[in-house]
Amino acid sequence: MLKRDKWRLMLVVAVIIVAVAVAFPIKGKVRLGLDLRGGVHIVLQAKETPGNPVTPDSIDRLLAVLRSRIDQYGISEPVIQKQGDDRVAIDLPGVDDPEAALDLIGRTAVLEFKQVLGASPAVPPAPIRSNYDSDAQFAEYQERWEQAKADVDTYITEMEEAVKSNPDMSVAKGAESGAYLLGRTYVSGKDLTKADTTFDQFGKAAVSLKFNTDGAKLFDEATAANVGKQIAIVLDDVVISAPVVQQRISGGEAQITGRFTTAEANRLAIMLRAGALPVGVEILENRSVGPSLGADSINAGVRAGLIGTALVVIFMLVYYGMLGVAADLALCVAMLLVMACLIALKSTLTLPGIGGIILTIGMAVDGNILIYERMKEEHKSGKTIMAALDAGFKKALVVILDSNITTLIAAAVLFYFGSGPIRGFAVTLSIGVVASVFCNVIVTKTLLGIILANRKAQAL
Amino acid sequence: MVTFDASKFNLPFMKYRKIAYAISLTAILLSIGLLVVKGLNPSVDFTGGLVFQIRFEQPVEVVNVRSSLSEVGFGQATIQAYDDHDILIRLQAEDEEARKVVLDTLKQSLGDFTVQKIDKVGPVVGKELRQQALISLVLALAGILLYMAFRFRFRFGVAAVLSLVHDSIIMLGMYSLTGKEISVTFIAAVLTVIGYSLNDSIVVLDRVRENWSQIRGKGPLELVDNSINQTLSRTVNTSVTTLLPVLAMYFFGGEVISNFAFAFIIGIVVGTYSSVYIASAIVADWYLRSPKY
Repeated sequence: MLKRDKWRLMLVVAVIIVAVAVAFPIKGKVRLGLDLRGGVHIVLQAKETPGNPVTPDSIDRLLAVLRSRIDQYGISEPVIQKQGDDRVAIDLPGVDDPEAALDLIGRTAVLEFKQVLGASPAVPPAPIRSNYDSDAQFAEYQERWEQAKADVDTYITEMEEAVKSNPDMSVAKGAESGAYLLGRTYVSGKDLTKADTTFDQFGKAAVSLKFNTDGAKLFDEATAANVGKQIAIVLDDVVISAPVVQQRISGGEAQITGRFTTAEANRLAIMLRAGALPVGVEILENRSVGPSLGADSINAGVRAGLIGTALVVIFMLVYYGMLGVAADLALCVAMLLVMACLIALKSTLTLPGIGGIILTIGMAVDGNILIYERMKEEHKSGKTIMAALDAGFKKALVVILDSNITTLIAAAVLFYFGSGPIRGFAVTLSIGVVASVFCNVIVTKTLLGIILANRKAQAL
Repeated sequence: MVTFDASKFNLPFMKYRKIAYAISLTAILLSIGLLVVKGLNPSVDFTGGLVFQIRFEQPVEVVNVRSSLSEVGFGQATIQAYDDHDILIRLQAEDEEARKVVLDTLKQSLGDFTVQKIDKVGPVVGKELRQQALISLVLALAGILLYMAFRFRFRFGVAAVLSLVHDSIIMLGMYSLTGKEISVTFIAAVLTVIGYSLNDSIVVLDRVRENWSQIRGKGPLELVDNSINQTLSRTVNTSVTTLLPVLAMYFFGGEVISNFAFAFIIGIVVGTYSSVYIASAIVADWYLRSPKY
């Protein structure tokens, strides 16, 4: 063995050892994207609301409130970051219930206790087909219900018209139906010191509140002035309930009941504790993946990868024989390097990223094919087998670099412009390309040097 | 060890190049026709909208899903069933309420389910993603063109570019034909395929260049034929080895990856054909018309 070959062999062995040390045991080491482990990705756009302009300061406060809500909700490893001037990107891995997470994040959660000046009639529940014997009957009730709904809508529109000229009054929709005509705000969520989930006397979930000194005083006055009348509890401009005040409440404690489930009451309590969002938010983008779908995707991806690898390995063995063995070993090393690089670079593996890896399996042996075909030609033209080996590698190298450079150009553009999952694809593709060039040029050559030198093979 | 040597066959590719031109031209015209008449099916990434993937506990029928969605005004939603439990719903809706309304309605009328996936893209983001996709396509193409300008002489470069354009149009045509979704991952697949299918053109055209000294004796047609045959086994083998795992992705990789793989399959097959036929035939015919190098 030539001295040069010895060095090359040592390099290959060293790289493999390092890669194995980095990559094994592989379980839990690769950072998975939200599309694989399940979770919620949300992009929020801060929206100006009257009196709450979007400023760098309000965005910072927005981030703080969101962080506090998410932490209290108990999500591990959330990522909450500012995007541009007025956007916030949030990644919540491993969330089972995306709906709940969206509710937790997207709600402004401005709580107000307001004076009730009037209310529209309520809309009766819509008819459901299965409750009626015939289509005709159903249609009749449907029509009647629509008429009732239209009446209520007209009533609400009239109320809205009426309050336009009066800044002290407002109209807010009820949680179920209808609307309320509201007067002044007595006390708001800003004056809370505590909010907890509790249960009312009927065992239904509720949120108990404790006001600070100012709030307690205001609440005391409000209840004193409204005994026998309704006070509206308004959350984000929706009246969640409007209980009749039985008696004056001076302790600074109150309870919100409504149609909550325990989970909803929990979230509301968290939102009230963490505070209202300083500006309104709109959900620009929301991508949620359930954990089972993510697991399915990984399984399907791994299966496709294994089948793909097997097909390529068999093809190379059948077509190229001994040379194929070297190519297959080099392919295994390439895959090992891809995984090791993913782990070492702490890149996130996404679903398209898995696609990128599988694609690399096919592209990795391309280099071997180019080299081997060239070797055959050189051998046919009369060169000895070792000379053909050298010439094959040298001449094929240009083409191998060519093909991989064009792929890298595409990957670089994708990395620069792509978002999450696509970026994952660009990363695995680039890593795959670099790893396969290394394996084509260095690993295969080393292996062939050893195999051919020992076998003294005379034919290719 | 040599089991097969394609160059021995010496296939007369150039003899049939007129037929190949005709096929390609027809495919291109059909594709353009499809794109004009039927258009593409952009995913919510680009249009904005709402996609749900839902697994019902009880088997459900698309008809029932549609009728219950119609009740709340989403009758025009695209509904697709993977199997009797898994349904994909896509609708155009901007506000947050739509999501709740849809899920509540389905729960009421069709029983319990788990939401496997929600994709909601607002119109603003949709527009941004469209722009990003366009910019990345243009930039990647520019990068590849630049590389080719540096790598090939003029005529070879033009031939390679034409075959790339040929591939891209047919790929879009296939997507129009099958109605498959054009999503952000499709753009990624297209860029990768463009980068990849150039390889075959490079292999063939490089050999043409190497053999160019024989142009006076053989003439362009025979020379190109020889070059194609000499490189045929590597052209075919590199395509086959890439196609094998891509086929595995298509059949076993699950919905998203399978869609992704479809683009690669078309790209690899059409790309291999075009680098053998279109790119090298253009070089040969160009020389026949004006014998310059």
